[in-house]
Amino acid sequence: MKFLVIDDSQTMRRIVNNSLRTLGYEDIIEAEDGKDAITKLYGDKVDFIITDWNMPNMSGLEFTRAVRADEQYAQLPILMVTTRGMKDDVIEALKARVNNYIIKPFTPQVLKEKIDLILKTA
Amino acid sequence: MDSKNLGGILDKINELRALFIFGQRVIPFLEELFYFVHDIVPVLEEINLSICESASKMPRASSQLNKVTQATELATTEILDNLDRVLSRLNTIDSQFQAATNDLEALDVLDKKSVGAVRTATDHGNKELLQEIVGLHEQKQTHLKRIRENAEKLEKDLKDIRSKSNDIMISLQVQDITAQQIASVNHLIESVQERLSGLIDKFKLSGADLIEEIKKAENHSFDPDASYDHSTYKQKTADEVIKDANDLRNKLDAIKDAISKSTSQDEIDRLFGKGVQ
Repeated sequence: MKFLVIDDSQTMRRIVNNSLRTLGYEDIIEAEDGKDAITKLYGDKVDFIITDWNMPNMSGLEFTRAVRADEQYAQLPILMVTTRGMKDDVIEALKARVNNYIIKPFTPQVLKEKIDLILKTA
Repeated sequence: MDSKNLGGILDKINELRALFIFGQRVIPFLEELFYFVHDIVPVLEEINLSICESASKMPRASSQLNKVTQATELATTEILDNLDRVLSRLNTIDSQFQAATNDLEALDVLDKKSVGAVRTATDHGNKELLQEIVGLHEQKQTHLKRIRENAEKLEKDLKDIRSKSNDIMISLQVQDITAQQIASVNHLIESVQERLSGLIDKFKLSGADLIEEIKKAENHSFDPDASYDHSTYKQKTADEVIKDANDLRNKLDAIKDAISKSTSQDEIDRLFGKGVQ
């Protein structure tokens, strides 16, 4: 299973990457923002996306909307990992059709839980 | 000059008198106002200077904050690099430890086989030799037991070190969160600087030449409410919102399904009545 991890923070990309490896997922590619992620998504076969919200050039929300607008990615699992913890933020992310939502700082247990849940219902 | 004209002159004189009386009353106030303006001018100049000074210090403050973000990012990368090395070494130690444990168990099996073979060979012969070998075997078993106990402790410690290393890595999320907080403060400084620069331009204040522009962060995006909070309250709220949305979606799917399968109106009503109000 190939993961695409999108975050403008190098630290966060490494933390998510390491957490995924601890969970046994080895095939991971990274992108610095939504725009970079779009290029990587179309140039590779991705099975699961983990994206931040606040990013320059193209935010995680804009990225999700762009991805969902393409029929071939309508069902692609998208997990948002962000510092934004207001109820309205979660609703907005759901409207953009993310599959699940994690608030930073997260633990690998929560990450595993959400990935498993998304894969179970996918 | 008739009496009518004389009356007019008297009225004018009265008006003048009233004016002088008013003047006498107003002059002290005017004097006070004059002294007040005299005193306030240096204060205003000081305020102008203070505005210019504050505005001129802001680019430095902003630059210093950016340096803090860069330094913490660099330090975090170094810590993550070292953690990767520690975890990699732990993997090596784990493999070596596992190999040593397996060798020890294999040795124990061989030892037991040896005792068995000696027992068979000396069954009807040298009883003393057998006793001695059995005694030595029992001593070996005592040592082996101790090694196994220590190995268990070591295995637990290794697991603990791995877990703590992962905890450190997870705690480093604080760097991303503080970077967003700093970006938010920098954004605030930029806004204040813009306002002050506007004021300085508008009133042509002295010292405006001291002020340099803040080098704006390129395309930076941040959450102004980012916080390093380990409580699970926010995550639970998010989970509840998602669960409610999923429940609703499932019910809508069920209704769509029912409609597409030409289900009876009673069943559709039941679905609506049960879930979607």
